[in-house]
Order: sequence, then structure tokens, then C-alpha cells
Amino acid sequence: MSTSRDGANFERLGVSSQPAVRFDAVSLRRDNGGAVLRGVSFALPPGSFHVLQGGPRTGKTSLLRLICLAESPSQGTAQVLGRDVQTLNRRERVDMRRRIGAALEPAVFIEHLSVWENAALGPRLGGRKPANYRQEVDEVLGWLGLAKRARDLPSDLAPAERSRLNLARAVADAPEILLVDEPPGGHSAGDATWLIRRLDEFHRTGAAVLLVASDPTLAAGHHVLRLEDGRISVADPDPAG
Amino acid sequence: MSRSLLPTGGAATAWAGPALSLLALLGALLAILGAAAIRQGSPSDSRLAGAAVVVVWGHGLESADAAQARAAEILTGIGGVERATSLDPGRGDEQLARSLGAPSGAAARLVAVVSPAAHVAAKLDQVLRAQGIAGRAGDRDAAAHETRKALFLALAGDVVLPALIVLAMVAVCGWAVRWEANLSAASLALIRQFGASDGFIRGLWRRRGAGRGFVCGLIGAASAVIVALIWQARGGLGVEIGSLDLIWAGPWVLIAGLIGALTTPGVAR
Repeated sequence: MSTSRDGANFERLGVSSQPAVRFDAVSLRRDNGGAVLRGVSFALPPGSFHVLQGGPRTGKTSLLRLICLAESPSQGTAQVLGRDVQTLNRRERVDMRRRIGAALEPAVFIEHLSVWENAALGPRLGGRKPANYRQEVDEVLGWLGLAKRARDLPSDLAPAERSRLNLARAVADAPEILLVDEPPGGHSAGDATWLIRRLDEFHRTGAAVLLVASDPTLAAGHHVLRLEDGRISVADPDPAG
Repeated sequence: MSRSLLPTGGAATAWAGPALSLLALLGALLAILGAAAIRQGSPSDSRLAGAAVVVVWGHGLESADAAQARAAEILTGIGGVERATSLDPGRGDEQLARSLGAPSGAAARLVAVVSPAAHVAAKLDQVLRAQGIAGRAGDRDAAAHETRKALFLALAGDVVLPALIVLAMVAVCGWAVRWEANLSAASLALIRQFGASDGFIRGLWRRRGAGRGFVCGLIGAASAVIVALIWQARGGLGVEIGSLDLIWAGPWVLIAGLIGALTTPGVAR
């Protein structure tokens, strides 16, 4: 399936009937023994849009890191795109990571590469030739309002632009799951509206989207996951949205 | 061509390039000098296949060179001697001359004497004394043994020193990559997150290391050739460097490149 909106194309081969993410009693402990997540269970259906809310230091970013395979659960079963992450071998883990787009915070960029080269990281690491993804990356940068900054270095960007570049990099390879973390200090009102519109557009391509947002207005109209004290609760979409 | 995903180490590892170049220069220079010395030492040894070797030195108003020429001429003329030849200075000749009894500090010269008779040294000694030439003769087997021993020690030096240089190169590459790996830990985590395999990351380090090693090896080898030529032009070090000897700087370009390529992935996991 190919979906085009505002000049950006995202190629997707098909949508599975399996949950994009399924956690059963997943816990995460740090090396010092401190529990970050305690028996978290939830599922993200394919093509769903969820907003993850919770106070500071409740484990939101850790949850995203578990989904994008940056960390492994201490206990419980975590399934991503139908596979138990604990059973993945190295090769499968690498392949799986390429199917997940993660805009984690604080955003890390390869500072000696241009904005365009940073946005193209996913396709490049996927082994594609630049000629095959040049147009896609151009479109994504245009879609996120960064076309004119393509040749600049990330260090030249304003904080809001860095967040957009973080998102551009996450969606450039048309992932099946998109994870978007909240920038430190949250989104400004204008940025939040702009961001949710863009994520809604991307979500319509069939990707499962999980957005971390402390601003309740961002959750309007979406399923909400609430993370408190290392445990999670699910709420239906706010009809007000 | 895409730029490397690895950031440079910046000032923290800026010393690595010059250090590798300097080590490559030393290695290449040793290789050039070693090749020149071996080339000159080996023919000297093979020419000792006759019956005896004679060492002469200057005495009174007669210089060592003049004594050598006179001894070669006189010894050629005595009965039973097929040929007596002045030997060009070669590697190990100094040790050989001392072993045959040349006084310490004297400028010694060698003459090879080919004779079908065995144990001619005593007879040659008598002739030298009779003609007033300061010198001494030694039977071929003993002399050849001394020369081979000196050559062996020199060759051992040619192996040990380069081995130490290789170890130093490995240490320099290892340190530089450790620094760079620490500095680029966040970038490495990022590219892993975006689907880079361990093999891909090893490849990045390997290309970085090979490129650095190759360039530094090239600089070092070229510098060694220049230094050798300048030395040669200023009178040399007792060893004549031929054009073919300079080729032996070349392998150090490959050695440095290989060390760079093979050392880096091992420490950057």
C-alpha cells in the first residue's frame, strides 16, 4: 500500500492481524535493583494510535525503549510484531529494529552529518542505495517543514526543528510501529497541534503509533495508556476529541 | 559516496596519526637499511668460499686501502693461490676483522684468498710478515662462521625492531579507537537502534582503521625514502643504499593499513 499526503509517500506491504505490540506482565529493573516497570500488560493493535501519559519518571521512555528493542524486559513476555523479543537472535533483532521507528528523547543525532543524512539513517542502514531513497527522504523532510534545512547540521537547528528531525528520521523508512517520545519540557501549543496532525496523517498509512504526551489535549480522540507507579491502565478514546 | 557514520575523535585522538606515521617511518627506514646491508653482506659471505680470508690494516705510512691492494697483489702471486680479491666493505666485515685479530681502532680491510690447499692461513701469515704488511690470515671455515654469526645477529635486529614497531602500532591504533568508541557511544547506540548489525559496525571501524593506517603508512614510507636519500647524499651510514632497497619501504604502507583494519574492531564492541 502506498499512501501519499502533503507530498510524503510511505510504502507499506500490508498490515498484520497480530498485535503490533503485546506486553504480558512485563517488568523492568535496573542494575541497582530499582523497578522501572512492574507487571505491565497491554496490547497495541496494528494500525492503532495510542497516547501514553504519566508523570515524570514513571517509565514512559523505558517502555518505548523496550518496544524498540533498545532494552530487554527483566520479567514477563514482550511481543513486538508477533515475535517474543526474548527469543530473537541477533539477525532477527536487527531486522525487527528496522521495522520500528523511534523518535526517542533526548534526541541524539550524528552531529557531523547533515540534516538530510541524519533523516536518511534508516534507509541507509537498511542497505538501500541512496538513489533509491533520495526522493523519499526529500519528501519526508518537506512534509515536516525541514526541506530548507536539509544541508544544515543538526546543531544549527532550533529545539523544535530538532524534534521534527527526530520524527523525520523515525518515519523515513516507513516503519510498522512509530514511537514518539515527548521532548524535554513538553510541546508548545502550536507544536503540539502541528505534531498531532502529522502523526494522524502517518497513522492513516496503517502504522501503529504510540505517542508520549503529558499534555491532555494531545490525547483527545485517541486511546490513552496511563503509566503510574510502574503500572499501566488503558482508557478509551476521549469522545471530546 | 556517503560519509562515515562514525564521528572523529577530534583533538583527543589527533596524536594517533602522527604517531602512526612516525612508527611507519622508523619501520620503513629499518627495512631500507636492512635490505641494503643484507645485499652487501651476503656477497661477502659467498666470496669466502675459497680457502682463507686475510685482514690487513694500515701500518706506518701505508694506509689500510693501500695495504689491502698490496696484499691482494702479493698473495695472488704466491704459489698455490688461485685468486686473491679485495673485498668491498660489507655487513659483518668489521666483526670478522676483529675476530681475525685486527687491532681495535684500526681501519681494517679484507682480502679473500682462493686456494685449492687447505689450512693455508699459516703460509699466508708468513708471506704477509715477510712483505711487511700488517695483517693476519684465517682459515675460511672460521671466518665464514664469524661472518654468518654477525649477519644472523643483524638479521635478528631486523626482525626484533620491526616486531616492536608493529606492537607499538597496535597499541596506538587500540588507544585511538578506544577513545573514539567512548566519544561515539551515543552515535553507536543510535545506529544500532536504526538497524545496524554488529558486523556493519565492525565494518565501519575496520574502514576507519584501514584508511588511517594506510594514509599514515604512506606518509611514513614516503618520509623514510626521503630520509634515506638525504642520508645517502650526505655520505651514508656505511651502507650503500640502492634504488631497489627503497622498495622495501612499500610493505609498511600495507602493514600499517592492515594493523589499522585488524586492531580496531577488536576493541570497539
